[in-house]
Amino acid sequence: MTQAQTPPLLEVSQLSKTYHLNTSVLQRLAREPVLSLKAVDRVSFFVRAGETLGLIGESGCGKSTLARVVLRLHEPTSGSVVFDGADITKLPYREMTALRRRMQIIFQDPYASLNPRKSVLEIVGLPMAIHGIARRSEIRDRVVAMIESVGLKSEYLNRFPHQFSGGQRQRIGIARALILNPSLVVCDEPVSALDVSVQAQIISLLKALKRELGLTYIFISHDIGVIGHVSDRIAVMYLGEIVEIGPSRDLLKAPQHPYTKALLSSVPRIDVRQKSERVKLAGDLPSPLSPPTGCKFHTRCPFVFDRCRVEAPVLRPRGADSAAACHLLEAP
Amino acid sequence: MSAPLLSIRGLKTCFPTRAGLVTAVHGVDLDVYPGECLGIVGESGSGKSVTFASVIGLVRPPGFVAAGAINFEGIDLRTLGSDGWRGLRGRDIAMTMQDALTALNPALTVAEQIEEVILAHAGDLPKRGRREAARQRAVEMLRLVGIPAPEARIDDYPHQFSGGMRQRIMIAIALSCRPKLLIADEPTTALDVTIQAQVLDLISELRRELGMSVVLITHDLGVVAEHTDRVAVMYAGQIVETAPTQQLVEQPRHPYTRGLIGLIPKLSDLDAPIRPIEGRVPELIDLGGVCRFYERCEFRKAACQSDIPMNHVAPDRQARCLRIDEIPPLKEVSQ
Repeated sequence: MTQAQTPPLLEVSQLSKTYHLNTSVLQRLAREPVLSLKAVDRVSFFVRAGETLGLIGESGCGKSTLARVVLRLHEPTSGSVVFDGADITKLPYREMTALRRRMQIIFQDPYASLNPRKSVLEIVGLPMAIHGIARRSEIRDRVVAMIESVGLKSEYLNRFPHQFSGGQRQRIGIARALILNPSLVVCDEPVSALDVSVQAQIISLLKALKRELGLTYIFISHDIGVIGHVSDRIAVMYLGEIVEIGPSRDLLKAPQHPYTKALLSSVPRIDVRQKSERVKLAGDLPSPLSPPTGCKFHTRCPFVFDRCRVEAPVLRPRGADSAAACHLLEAP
Repeated sequence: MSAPLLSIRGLKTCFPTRAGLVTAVHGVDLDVYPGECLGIVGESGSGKSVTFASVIGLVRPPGFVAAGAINFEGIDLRTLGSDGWRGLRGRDIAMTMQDALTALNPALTVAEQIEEVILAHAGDLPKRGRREAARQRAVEMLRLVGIPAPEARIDDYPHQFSGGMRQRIMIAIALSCRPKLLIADEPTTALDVTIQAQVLDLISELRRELGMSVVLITHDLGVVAEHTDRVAVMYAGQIVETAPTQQLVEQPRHPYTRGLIGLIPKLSDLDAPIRPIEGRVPELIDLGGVCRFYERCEFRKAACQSDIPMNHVAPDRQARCLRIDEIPPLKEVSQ
């Protein structure tokens, strides 16, 4: 495998996104302190062409914000996102719009992400109209081909979202994301809203489409089973930071970071007998408005020691393709 | 085996809709034994929540229980009047709802919500200082479910707690009168896995401590595998398979259960393909004369076009399938 030599399709460095709260006029008049929420905090990673990077973490850890900042749907506060050689955080509007053809997103909620007043033809055809890449007569043919390849029938073309089940709606969302023939697709919890049997149908569809069209995925989920199944590499997030990243097999078999260990051992599994000893976590996720000092995980970590409370660990390479941020892992 | 605590026979619950009469639960037979944890697993619309809403008399009109017998410790729950229910619900049978935020009253403090149950049901409170005693017990309940600093937090409102903590408060309310049966409807669906593990461990611990029976309603087979003794799988308003949990996950017999297990991604074997069950759940109107899984079943044959009864697989296992003896066993999961 010479994958390591090919330049990555996407390279993210020191990317941060901070939201400021209490900024309304009234709140400022009342002299309420402005709070900053670091949703994404100096995150660096890369995605190779043709691979699937899984992004996992609990709710509020910043994984969806990260995805939106990477696509520049939200403006980053600092850091860079290099997509196919160009830093998209600095691109002017027009060039950015042109580039959006190559980076698309599939949303979590197939009920909220489709306009209820538009037909399938309009929803899936709209991206082509926006980018002016097909004539009206062509749009219809291409939409038909697209929805057939995601497993919908061509006679559904003039139906509206409410006439479909959750799984079918998600197929419409997938068709809309793929109609422009993108290179990078961010799948933001694409199966979380679906029942398990439908979930499996959508996952196999996404895997098949990736093979056929040579796509690159960033796949976000809180379901470790799903992530393990679709990803080549996995990044684990906690309170806005990546705490561990590595090839799926290694990360799932031999997690290094205590948080990854706890997360993996908390997942209820049907192969109970194969489970490793549970690493129990006490307490809830701390508020991201006032994250703990030092290592952000130290308030819940079963292995915490003095250094963790004062000094934040950095993501250091562990082996060929892995990295983890934990003082425990560093040689004394 | 000892006599069941709760016994359901031939339960049928219907909802009139514009499209016709929807039979959400169709002929459910189920027993819950003292001290056991029974898992009810199924996808949305399979009838798992409606079955237990029927048991506790909370089917929302215009829905109604059309047929069947529900027996709890010798009491016929279907003939119970509102006074009878008041004495039973909360005291002997308690239920926690799926969504803790909407199930708790946002305008009352946690103290008021727990004390209400205790004052209504506990017969052993002293005549003088009943309120103080109830408050004392409410604090103890919060401590039992692992809320830090319960004396300080008890006068807070539900919105001041996190999702996991709210779920614990619901459990505290449900357990405050030491019920014999706890029905937990998707107690952890909205929670993150590390919090889910905490809440499920808590329910298991309390079950052992208080010696109660638990019915755990969930869509997650992993949760069932780790936390229940026995499991009933529901599909389209019917139970399709019941078995001891370990046997069910390792050797499922009904084609639907096999399908469910085949489509769960397994962390121990990343190369195992996940095989989707093609097709969709049938509409629950005018079903009959055919196995409900017929359209999606890879083992169907002509004889399956009839009403299928539950068939004995082993003394404590049943499956609603004609071909259980002919279908080859699934490769064991834990190998």
